[in-house]
Amino acid sequence: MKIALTGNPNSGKTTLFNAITGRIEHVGNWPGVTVEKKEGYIKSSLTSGKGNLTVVDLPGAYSLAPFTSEETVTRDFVLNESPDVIINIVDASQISRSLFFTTQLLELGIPVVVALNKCDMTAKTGIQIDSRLLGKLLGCPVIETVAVKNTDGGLKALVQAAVSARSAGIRPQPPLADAGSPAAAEEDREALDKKRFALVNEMTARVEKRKTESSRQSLQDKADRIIADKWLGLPIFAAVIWLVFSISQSWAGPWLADVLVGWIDGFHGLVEGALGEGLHPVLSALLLDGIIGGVGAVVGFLPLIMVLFFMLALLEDSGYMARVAVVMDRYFKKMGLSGKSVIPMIVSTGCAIPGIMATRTIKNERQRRTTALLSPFIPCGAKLPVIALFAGVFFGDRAWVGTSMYFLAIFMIIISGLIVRKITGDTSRSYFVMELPPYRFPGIGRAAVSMMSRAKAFIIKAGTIILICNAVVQLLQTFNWQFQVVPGSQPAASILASLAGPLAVIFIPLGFGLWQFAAAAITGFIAKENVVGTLAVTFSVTNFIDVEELALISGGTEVMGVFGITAAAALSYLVFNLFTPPCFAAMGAMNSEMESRKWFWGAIGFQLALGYILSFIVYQAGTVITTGAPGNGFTGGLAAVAVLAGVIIFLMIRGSRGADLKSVKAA
Amino acid sequence: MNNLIAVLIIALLVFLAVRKILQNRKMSDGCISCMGCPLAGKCSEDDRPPSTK
Repeated sequence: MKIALTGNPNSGKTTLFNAITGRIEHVGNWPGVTVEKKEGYIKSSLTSGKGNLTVVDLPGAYSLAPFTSEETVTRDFVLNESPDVIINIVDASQISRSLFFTTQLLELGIPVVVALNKCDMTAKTGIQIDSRLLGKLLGCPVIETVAVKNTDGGLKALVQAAVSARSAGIRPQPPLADAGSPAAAEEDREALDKKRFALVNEMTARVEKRKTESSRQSLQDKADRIIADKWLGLPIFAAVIWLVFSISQSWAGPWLADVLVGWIDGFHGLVEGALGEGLHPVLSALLLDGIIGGVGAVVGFLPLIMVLFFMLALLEDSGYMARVAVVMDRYFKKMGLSGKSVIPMIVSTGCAIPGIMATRTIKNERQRRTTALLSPFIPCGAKLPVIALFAGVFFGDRAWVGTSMYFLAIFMIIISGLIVRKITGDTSRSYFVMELPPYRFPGIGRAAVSMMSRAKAFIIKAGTIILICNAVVQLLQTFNWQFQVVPGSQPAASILASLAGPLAVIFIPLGFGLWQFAAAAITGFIAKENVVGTLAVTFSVTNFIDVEELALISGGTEVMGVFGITAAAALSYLVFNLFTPPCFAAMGAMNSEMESRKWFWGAIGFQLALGYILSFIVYQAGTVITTGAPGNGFTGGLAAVAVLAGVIIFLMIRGSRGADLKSVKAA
Repeated sequence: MNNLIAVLIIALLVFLAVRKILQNRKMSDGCISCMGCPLAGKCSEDDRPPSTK
């Protein structure tokens, strides 16, 4: 038996899906979190021995006439894949809007059960709904549910109602009598929609009682006036992000990381002690430095990332992030995007892949492709260890580095959006209408589940792809081309150094023209966490969290001496890592969502050019400020930057001319 | 003896890592994006880049 979960965006479908299946799919307190269907089995405790019940979580939709690509997924599924029962999740606080879709579902001839969700919210806001009467008017069972509740919350009754509806095999009677008739099919859709709205309004008037006057400002409205204010919204957002980075990167995160790193060190010592001093140097380097040291260096940053993810999950759950979309909308409009592009960027703070996939909620093709190009600029979970490492080693205050990277990314997204708009010659205006979810006290449990899910993905990645990469890097560093072991004092003679060395030349104007950094840049394309792992292996540093060890390695001199680059170069490396193309997996997602080779390769070229130009500016300007003279490779770098900038400007002029020609033709 | 143990440990770790990567690839119908992808093994047909199938 297959049950489809449908409903309006942000009605709580995925939360209900997680509650009845026990899975931990990503949820958020804003519309558009789910963009593709997800399948699971209902927990046996809810089925009462009725066997395997498959449930499919579908993206939110307002009607069966799809407006965006994820709504098409829902429409296609319910129309073509004939689920046995449809559970329609209706937000109890918004029934007048939700029932439009319900009445359409009732016309499909498939048994429908309505889950009147978020009933706890209606009780708090003084809304009363007569669910029995609603069931009579709709001609289908209506079950009150609270999907976020840890106890049953009506879920068992809901599943049983779905099973009974299927067993009874009763086809629902459409409330809109003539909607299913052949005449109705030819009728003007607008007129039919008007009829449907009238019916829904009539139903709502009969079943809903509101104690609050709609004209009176609620506490939520008052809060929105401040939080989403056009002047105050941005400083508040900056303060919130600074606080999030402070807690995760400077306060709680490092404290927890110290504990974990202590365990990793202990394990390293245990293996070293157990295998003894007689171990062959190649095996010792591969196992202790490459695998345990390299993976350990990456995993050491896990607590910082977990704290950050926990904080972001709390913000998502509270409903604040939806307000950020409203705040950013006015800036995004200037570059032809809208607040809708903010959602994929917020999702990208976890990982760019789901962020890029979330762009499919954007209907306009250029806006969708531009958002897929720009979303990877936001520091994702994989880039955070690199930021945390450099902030910790080169800059005393870790929080401002992370925060500034975040806001530099937002600033460059706006600038890049303007550039891309000029290049494409698209002058169309964008519009943004978003349903603001109510504020709610964030669930600690939900945030913890979200954090643990992301932490698990991070650990699996560290134990698979990062482990293999570090082992390969260690081997390439151990041998020369004659497959002889390279002496520890001459790592530059290794295969790795000879491969990465030529590439390092182009990084000289950026301040990090060392083969170790070039190697890290290459492995970073496989997974960005690899940057930390590769630096750990190539510099033979297994513990990045404990600064004292770094000081010992550098012979008691300055910590940054280990890497052999300046603070300006470190900042330049962070900028390079942030703006150059993301990992291969995210590039695959970009390719998939852009659906155009021209756009995809143009995006990769743009990201490479932007990363190089910005990195050059940061290093050279930083060097001039700190030393009074430009850094190494200034002339060559300036020439390269001039060429890259020239190409971008040429494309912008060509795009603008194309747009002018189009407007002349249109006139 | 210790060298042999070290070789076995390395071989086991690499084997487990490669097996997990290949498992994810199999579950994702051979999509190469599973390398480091958080959706590895649980993505749907629609998620996979056409060029990598």
